[in-house]
Amino acid sequence: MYNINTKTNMTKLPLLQIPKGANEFYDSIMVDIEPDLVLGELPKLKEKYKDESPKSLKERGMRYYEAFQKFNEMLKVKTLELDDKAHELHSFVIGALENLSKGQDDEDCNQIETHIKKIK
Amino acid sequence: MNHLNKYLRLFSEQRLIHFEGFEHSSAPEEVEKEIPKEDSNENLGPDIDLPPTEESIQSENADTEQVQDEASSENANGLTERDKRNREIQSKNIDVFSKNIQYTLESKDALQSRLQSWAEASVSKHVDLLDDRLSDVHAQMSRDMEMQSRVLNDCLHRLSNMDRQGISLIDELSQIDPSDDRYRQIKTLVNNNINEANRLSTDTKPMQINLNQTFDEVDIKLDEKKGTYTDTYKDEEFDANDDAIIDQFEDGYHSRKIADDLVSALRNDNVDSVKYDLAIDKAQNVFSQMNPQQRELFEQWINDEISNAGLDQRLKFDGTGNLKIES
Repeated sequence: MYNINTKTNMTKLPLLQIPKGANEFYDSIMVDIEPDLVLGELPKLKEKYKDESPKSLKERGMRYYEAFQKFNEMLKVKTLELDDKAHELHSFVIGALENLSKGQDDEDCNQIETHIKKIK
Repeated sequence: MNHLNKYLRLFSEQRLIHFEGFEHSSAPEEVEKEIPKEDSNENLGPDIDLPPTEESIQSENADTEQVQDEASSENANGLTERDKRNREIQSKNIDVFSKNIQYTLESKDALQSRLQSWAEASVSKHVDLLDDRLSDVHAQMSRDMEMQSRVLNDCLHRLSNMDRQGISLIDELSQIDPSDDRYRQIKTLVNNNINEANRLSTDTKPMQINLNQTFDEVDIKLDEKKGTYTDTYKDEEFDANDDAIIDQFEDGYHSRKIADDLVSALRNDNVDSVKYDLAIDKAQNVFSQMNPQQRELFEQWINDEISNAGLDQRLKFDGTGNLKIES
């Protein structure tokens, strides 16, 4: 087995699960609010509600309206989470660079080379 | 007022649907009020405030026919002008009612289309909003990831340099008598080198985890570098007279590195990983260069390593030099 020092001062950063695209991001929020309004379902609504009554049509409209209101509220939360993740990564990178730079200056290598030359 | 107009108004008031400019091509007509009889409260026109049904239409028509029959009869008996006018109004109202039924059906379709359009437009607007937001975040993260890549590459470069220095130190060490003071000095340098290599490898590990795309590649490179140092100088305070450590590097490094990678892959049930494939390739490559006795020992040695790790699997080389896993 490697005789590696496993202790580290750096905080391990969990894998960042950032949505790759806006569509995926939108669906991930909307699916819990109003499944009718996820992207894959939109084109099917006309067929799905072809026999609805005027009353249910009105209720559906109301439901969709409220869904977007709720979506906007959720979006604020998700946006903050995204910012936090981005900030977390940035802090992590800066912290890692600072940590590495502690012993990463050229002096260390130069010192070794100097010693070798002296020994020789 | 037609009940669908009410829906339109409700949607509009509650901002359910922005029916801007919505005007049906055949807007419903208001029924004309009849001239009331002085001695009668009858209302023969359709009640269009209520949702019309087929039954009610038939019923209204029947009533109207009945009234018309009565009117004819009364006409024969001398109807007043007011009665005639009422019948005209009733007849006209029935036409209006029929049109309104058609309008109701068409309006529902129109409303559904409007709702659909509005929903699609709203979804599109929100997706665009998210796209902008995500683009900003991704741009920031890309910059950070790029920075990490540069740091990792720099670390790899430094490890390579240290690798060369380590080899040089080994050469020095092999030519010096262990009783020589320089031997201790070089050993100190070697240990410093090991510590620095360890630190670089360990401290950059979390970065590798973030760099998913290059994770395997970088991990392998770093592990190989780590292996070089830690296997070469298994104990940081090694016995100065133990030249076998250097021999281990030359003769045993590959075997141990291969065994470590295989054990690691088996332990993590990760036999599909690049590291595992690489280890298998290396093992087979080493195996191909061995004589039969060495092959037997090599196989036994690797299996001992696997067994020592508490794993049940066994690796077996077949006659053609291919390595297989036996559970």
